[in-house]
Amino acid sequence: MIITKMKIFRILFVLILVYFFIGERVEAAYNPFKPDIIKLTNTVLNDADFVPFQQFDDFNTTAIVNTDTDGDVFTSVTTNGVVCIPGTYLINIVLYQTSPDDHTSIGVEVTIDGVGTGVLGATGYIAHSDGHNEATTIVSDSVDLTTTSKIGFDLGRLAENKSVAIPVGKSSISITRIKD
Amino acid sequence: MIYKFFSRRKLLAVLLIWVFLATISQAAYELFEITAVKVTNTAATDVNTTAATQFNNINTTAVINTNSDICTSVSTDGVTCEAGTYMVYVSLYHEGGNSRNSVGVQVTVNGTGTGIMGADGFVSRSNGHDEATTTVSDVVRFTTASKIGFFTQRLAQNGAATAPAGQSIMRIIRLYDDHY
Repeated sequence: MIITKMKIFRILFVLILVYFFIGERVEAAYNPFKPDIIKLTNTVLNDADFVPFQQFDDFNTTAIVNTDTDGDVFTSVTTNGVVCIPGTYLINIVLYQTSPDDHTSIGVEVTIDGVGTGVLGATGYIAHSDGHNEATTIVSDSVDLTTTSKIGFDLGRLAENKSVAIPVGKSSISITRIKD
Repeated sequence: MIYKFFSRRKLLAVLLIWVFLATISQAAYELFEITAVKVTNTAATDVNTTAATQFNNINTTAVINTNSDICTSVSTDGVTCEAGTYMVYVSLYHEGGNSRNSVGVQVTVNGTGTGIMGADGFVSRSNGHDEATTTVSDVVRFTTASKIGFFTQRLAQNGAATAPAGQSIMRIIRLYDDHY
């Protein structure tokens, strides 16, 4: 079989056509953006009554949910945060706490590489009377990461100087990558 | 001129390939889309029960359901959804009860709590502070169709706390397809 220059030219021409008219579309179709989500719970923290706020350092590094099975979005899970590639993220934190004391309140703030975003959750008031000895501090935030960064949260005292415990497995952080 | 370069048969073949691949790529585009459901509540006479009690007052007419093939039915105690990873948010408005009551909320899958407790619904019942919302955000993942709901539980003082109709919500967002 003789392959002439004209045949080669025709084949190349067809390949170029396929690439420009179909290839990009197929590529985009098979790699559409999908949100990825990770959920972590916590190990025990005996006292969260920090002044000033301190980085929460008690994540369980085994995720309850992690849709990023390749590990190319949430590249590392540490006890004080999740390393995430650039993108837009939605973060939800539920911090469950108990106290043997009255008038406590623990604040929570999302951090990027240890720096707080400024949005403060302050719903964790405990009166500690009539059995009211537990509360949750809730905060929801969204962040744009332009470089790979660690998402976590810090926490600390907003009211009385008293002891507040964070029991194991009842608090969570969920991080959802909603845009590439 | 193009007829000199390609025969009609070859042009037809290219056209058929284009249609075939375009159809495949369109199908790929449609493989996954986010599904969102929002349900409100009918009136509940007491959400401050001592034992954890499945919330059984979901209005079975969803306010939003973007894909009833995914979240296939809404019953009074939960929303049945296909396999997937879901972000769930519950906001339970309640009022009344005795002084210093607090209602806890926990997301359930097929009636089993996830362990993450919302406990920010404290009501002091003094100076007009008679109402509160308990909120919780969670992420659940299941590989067979399951029912997402939530339970409520007394965390402090006893006494019936009501949840008036239409003032509480559960929001479910499917972020990931787990049919694999």
